Amino acid sequence: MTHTIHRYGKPEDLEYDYSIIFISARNFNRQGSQPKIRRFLELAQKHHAVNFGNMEAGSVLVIGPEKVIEAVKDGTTVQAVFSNQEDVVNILSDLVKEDLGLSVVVQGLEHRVRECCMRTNLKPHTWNHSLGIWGKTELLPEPEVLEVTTMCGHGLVAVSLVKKIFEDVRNGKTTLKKAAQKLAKPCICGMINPVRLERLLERVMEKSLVVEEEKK
Amino acid sequence: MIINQEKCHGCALCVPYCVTNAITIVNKKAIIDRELCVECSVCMQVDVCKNHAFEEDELEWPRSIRRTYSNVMSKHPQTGMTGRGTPEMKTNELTGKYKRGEVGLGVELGRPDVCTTFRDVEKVAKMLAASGFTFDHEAPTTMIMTDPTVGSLPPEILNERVICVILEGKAPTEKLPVLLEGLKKVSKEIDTVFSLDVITVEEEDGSVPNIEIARRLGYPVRPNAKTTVGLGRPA
Repeated sequence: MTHTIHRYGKPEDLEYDYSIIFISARNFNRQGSQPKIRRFLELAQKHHAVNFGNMEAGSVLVIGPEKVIEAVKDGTTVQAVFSNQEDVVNILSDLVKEDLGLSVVVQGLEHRVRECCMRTNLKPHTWNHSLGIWGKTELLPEPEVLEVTTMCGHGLVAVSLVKKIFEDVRNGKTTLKKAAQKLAKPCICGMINPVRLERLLERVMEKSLVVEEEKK
Repeated sequence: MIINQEKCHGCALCVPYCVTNAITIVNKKAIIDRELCVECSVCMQVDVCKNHAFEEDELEWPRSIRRTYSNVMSKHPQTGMTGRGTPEMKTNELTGKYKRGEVGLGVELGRPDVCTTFRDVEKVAKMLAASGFTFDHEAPTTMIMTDPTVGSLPPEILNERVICVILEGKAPTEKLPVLLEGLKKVSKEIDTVFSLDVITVEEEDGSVPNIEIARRLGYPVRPNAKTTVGLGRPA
């Protein structure tokens, strides 16, 4: 999950993209953590998480909420994705109230994350920042594809799949919702943000309409 | 990963799901290029094959390292954890792995979308080690190094290809400029990409010194970041 900070996109798109990781620490609080982790996932549902998952079982979009929660064991790392700041503030408030005792890591635009912390009287402890992508960047796909593939930090959404689905959307072969679900499927941990995906697909479709119009 | 040729009907639905483009259709059957395949098992996990033609075969060392690093559901034998690495800074309010006055780095080779060989991982690891970087002894990649003080890896794995390998560790903050300079140099010598993470414990006044240094040196910092919010405590 290191990779959540490398979610690619313009700040205006990242406004709709937050993730929270709930994690135990070996030798500190892993033993007996199962009910706390399940409670976090219940809170994520209550506060309108647009995706959540359990790395060892799968994401809510694929196996459903009950199975994700049921598969939690002591020490399972879970994560939830949110598409607006209010939901993040609300779940953080509940986490402060319930004091579950496991580590909470919030990812998003830095200034927005700071605002979330301020509004819930939490103090950031340790930061992880992205200094971007280095090396043979000419091997990377185009930015719109990268926006999708970097949402799955484990790199399980293939460039070829994104390109195919972009094509299907452009040709009206699929709906935005179905296309977003298909793209989210390989991301086992539930880190893909389907709301952001739909917006992105909409953009892809609009762009192709403009090109079509210009051709005429 | 293998495709059972008797079960495959050659529908090609699986082809776009492969992250390394290792699946092709030959004579109306899907086949896997073993050299390109990183054993991530995405093709099987997405359950796109109605005939269940994908099968995970027994892998021998060193090929088995592909599955360990590329299949998210596979646990690292060294750490017992799924995923790519350690909890890095996610539990730092408890573990104190990173301290003020230090810089933590995560060099995520192969990500995004390109994959990496361990040969490139070793190039970067050797540069870091020579620049005063200490690898996290709990990180799976440190555990497979033949000598973490120099960043060397077992020679038999160097040509193995995986989705991503993370090099994790830390150094005193004053080493950050030389580490970034070294990374810039070595990034021109590898056949892949890496995403770079910089870890910092926030100061009392809310400042994040390592990022201030990086910005001062002209390195662009992405607008998104993540932070622990200090809610972890011992059970």
